[in-house]
Amino acid sequence: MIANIVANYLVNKGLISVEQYSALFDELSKVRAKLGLIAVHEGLMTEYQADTVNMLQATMDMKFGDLAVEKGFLTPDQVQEMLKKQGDPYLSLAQALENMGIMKLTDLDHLMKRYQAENEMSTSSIEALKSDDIERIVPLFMPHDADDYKDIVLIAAKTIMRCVDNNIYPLKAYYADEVEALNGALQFVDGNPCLTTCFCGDGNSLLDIACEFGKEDFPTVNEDALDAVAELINCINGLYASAKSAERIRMELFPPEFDDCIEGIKGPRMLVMPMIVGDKSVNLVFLIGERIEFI
Amino acid sequence: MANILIVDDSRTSRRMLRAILEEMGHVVVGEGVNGEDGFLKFKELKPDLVTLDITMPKLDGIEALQLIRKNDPEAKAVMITAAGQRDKMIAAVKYGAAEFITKPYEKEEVEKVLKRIL
Repeated sequence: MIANIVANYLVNKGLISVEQYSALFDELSKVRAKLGLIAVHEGLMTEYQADTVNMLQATMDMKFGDLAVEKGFLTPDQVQEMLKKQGDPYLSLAQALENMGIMKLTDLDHLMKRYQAENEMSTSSIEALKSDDIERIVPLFMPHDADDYKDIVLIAAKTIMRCVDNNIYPLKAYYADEVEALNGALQFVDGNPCLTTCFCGDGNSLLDIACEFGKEDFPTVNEDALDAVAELINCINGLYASAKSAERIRMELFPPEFDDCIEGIKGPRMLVMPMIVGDKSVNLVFLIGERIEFI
Repeated sequence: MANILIVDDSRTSRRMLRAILEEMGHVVVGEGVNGEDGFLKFKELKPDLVTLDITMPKLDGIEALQLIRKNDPEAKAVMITAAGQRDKMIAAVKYGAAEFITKPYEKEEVEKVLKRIL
């Protein structure tokens, strides 16, 4: 998720091309952060020291960690700690960007500071982002007074990642009484409080979700495709009802509905979370305490 | 191998379950698109087993199960549920449901459930 968010930011800022964006994910699938990059990131070595060890490695058959210890730059314990961080998602992203010659770790750190300032985020929020932990990232994109929605939004995001696409990422969520859309699927869940979950979009924005979840090549977002989207919503709401039953809250799922010819959806103060799935933006819309209706 | 009737309002769900059942060698003799349609198809086709989605329009899975068991007290029914349908599952047991399968389908789970009741 951090890779998608940063890569999208880089494209928007004109710092990488769309081709580099795609290539970055190929590189990410192969990359593992090198110890030198981790040591610099952790402030244990300077870039100069890391480059020195890298150069020595070209002439000596020794591992980076062993050489750095021999040179007195690191202790064996520090090397062990760094080895544990090799799968760190932020550092892997930094390594992939460096491997592609796009930017060094220090440049990425500067970029993250710029992103932080532009989005008025705290340092702890940026750390949450770097963790790549969906449970910490998704709430960053929700309004501050949307705590009641946290469970359903997280269940929706995690279910989409599990059943549709692992490379999704959220955009800033907001409240609205109406949302324009050309097609959508929704399900009302009765309970105290009740809930409506709706996925809607323009044109073919729901197509990837429908094809992946329904395991069928739908040509367009027709009724059959929306039926698949509705089934995904049914699974999401089922998991939400299951979680709520642990709090002794009983919820009853109603049959999902869908429509491929709408002008939008409406409901009082709906929480709208745009989510990028594939290369398309889909609106995940939730309303606790009321029904959402197609317009 | 069994003759099976699938009752679910979702075309996607019916298609996914049919694919798993047919891969297992069963014959899907029909599909019902809601509880009422499912009950009528059950009477007409007399399958060895019926799968009933719990959440459906017109008659839901529990209501259809009651009608089916009233019509044939020996009828074998597997209820299809999303997670979190505990109360509905308890009601289904009361009305004679043999087993449950949770959506989204996992082939191994479907196989285990069918082995237990067929």
